[in-house]
Amino acid sequence: MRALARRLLVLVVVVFFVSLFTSLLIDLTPGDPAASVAGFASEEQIAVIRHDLGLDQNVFVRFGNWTKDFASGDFGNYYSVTGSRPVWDQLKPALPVSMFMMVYAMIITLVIAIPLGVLSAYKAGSVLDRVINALAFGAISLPNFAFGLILIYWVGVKGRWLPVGGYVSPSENLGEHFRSLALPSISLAAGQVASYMRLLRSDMIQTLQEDFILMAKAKGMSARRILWMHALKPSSLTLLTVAGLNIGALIGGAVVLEIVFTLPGMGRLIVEAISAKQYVALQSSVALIAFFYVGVNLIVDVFYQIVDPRVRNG
Amino acid sequence: MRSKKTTRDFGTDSYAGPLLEVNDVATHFKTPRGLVRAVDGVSFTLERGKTLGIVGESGCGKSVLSKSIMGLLPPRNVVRSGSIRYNGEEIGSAKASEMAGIWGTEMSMVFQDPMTALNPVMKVGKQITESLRYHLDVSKSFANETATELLRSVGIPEPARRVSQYPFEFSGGMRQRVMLAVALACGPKILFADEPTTALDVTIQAQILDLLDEQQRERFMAMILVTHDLGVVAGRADEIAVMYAGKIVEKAPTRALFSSMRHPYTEALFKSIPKLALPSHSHLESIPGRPPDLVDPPAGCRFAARCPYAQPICTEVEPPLIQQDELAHVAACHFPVGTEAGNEALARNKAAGVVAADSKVGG
Repeated sequence: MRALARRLLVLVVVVFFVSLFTSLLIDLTPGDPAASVAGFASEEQIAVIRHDLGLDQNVFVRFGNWTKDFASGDFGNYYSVTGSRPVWDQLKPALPVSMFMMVYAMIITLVIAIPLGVLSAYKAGSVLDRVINALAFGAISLPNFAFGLILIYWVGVKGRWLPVGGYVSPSENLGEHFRSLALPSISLAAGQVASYMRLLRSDMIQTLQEDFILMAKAKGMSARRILWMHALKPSSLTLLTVAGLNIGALIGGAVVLEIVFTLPGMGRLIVEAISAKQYVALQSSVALIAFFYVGVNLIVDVFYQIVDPRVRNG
Repeated sequence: MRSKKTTRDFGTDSYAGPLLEVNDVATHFKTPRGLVRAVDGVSFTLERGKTLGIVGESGCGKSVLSKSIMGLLPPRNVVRSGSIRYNGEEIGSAKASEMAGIWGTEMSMVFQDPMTALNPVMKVGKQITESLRYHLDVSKSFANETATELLRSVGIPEPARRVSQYPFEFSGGMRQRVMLAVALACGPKILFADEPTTALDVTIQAQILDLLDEQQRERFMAMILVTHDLGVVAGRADEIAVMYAGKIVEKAPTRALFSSMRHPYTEALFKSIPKLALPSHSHLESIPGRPPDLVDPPAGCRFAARCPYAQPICTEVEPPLIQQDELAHVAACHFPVGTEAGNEALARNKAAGVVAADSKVGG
């Protein structure tokens, strides 16, 4: 319980600093939000707008105000002269799009990477192992947006098997929902599959040298049982850690792929917020992602304890 | 859970011959340096319920021998030859899939280091029940009861609570007990104990050896006890085989070996056991030199270079294993310890100030 409380505290601290640095970074960028909101207006009008939006205040004061709002669940408003546009109205539909995409990518990654990693470790040095590894190298080297474009061309445009853009929510039509996210999730997963597979392979090769594997063999357990019941669990600790840390890469990839596949997700929201200098929206979105990142790593820690009993009492 | 898939039936006790017959078994490893002859022509038989002690220093091939007999070595870069008959059936060239019917149920192994030989992330109960469930196709509750019973029989207090604990929650000696329970789960007829006490505290060693003894007697199980320590096998083995550089150099019933050892290597091993009677800080006897390179073993007797009895013939002609005074006692030496020829050879070397064959070469 105390460990959990400590982790929650860490979560708050991380989100605080991520937001603070985002805030300072934004302050360094050139350009004036008030001017871009105002459009063709005189200096005086812009000054008035700047004052109305609180943009004439010190960066720390603005950060303080934003923090107060964010902590109370208010994600702020878009800068606007024509009335209030709450950021949450945009975030609310965008959040599930990105989440679903990342979760699906993660599932695809694990479902493919784990069996491949186990197989290539078991057959280490064989032709099969080398073929798998060569393919993995290829997949790691290819950026996911490039892979996405290849998929769009062959699967979407040439084959017409899957949609290449747009999003359908699961409550609308579950089948179409999966179809709409299939290509982006696969593109996002491709590079991850390769790195996870190689990671698991090397850990697994090490585990297979262990005495307890020989012991299991001497007990007459089948090779399949030894691989899945004895070797996989102790080999998956690094995988788990990296999976948690890799959420960052996953988010980064998702942001790019949302643009490629024209999905109305967080990535597009953030890119739009940056180009329109909508800093409050940007800040809230980034803080939300930081929450997600730390949250996932918290879950990974819990998994760690499930996988390795030695961690539980530590 | 799949049920037992046995390719052959080894469970018949109708075969009247020895339980295990090992004939001219060799195990070589292909390495970049050349072929390592880890085991090079070893023969012995093991009767039901008996114990064979295999003794030798590190690198003499004793562990490889037991793994080779069980067929546990990886197929790649390993060359095995010779005949291994279990219950009359040839298993020397059996594939892993065929051996799966033997592993666990007929032959089982206890490893040296209990810290690494138990799966760290699997409950100990599960490590026992999985082979029961897999081989004998028993119900989950029956397997659980059996596991608890096994833990109790190997001397683990509160077994019902301990089954659901992980190996890290046990001490070294307790883990070795658990490993024994795991190995015994399916009632094997031969237990290979590969240095079962080497990794343990001295005070625990005797306990584990006694436990092995007790379990063996209760189950009428044969055992191959591999160790570097003559003291370990002294009171426990029916027969002892002394290995040196991949070969058996002397084999005898335990009493005969200790009362009238014939091979100079056996004598040297015996002398290197620390004796309680000696005053403290007295020097331990050691064997000079190192075991030969198994890629390119020397001609003649492999021990000659370190042997105080060695004569010119020893580096030229390899002595065969020949019978000594007693029927079951064999030794491979041109100048056996305690014989006239041996005494003469030793006296001649002493007079010439020679300690071993290679000291002549080196000056």
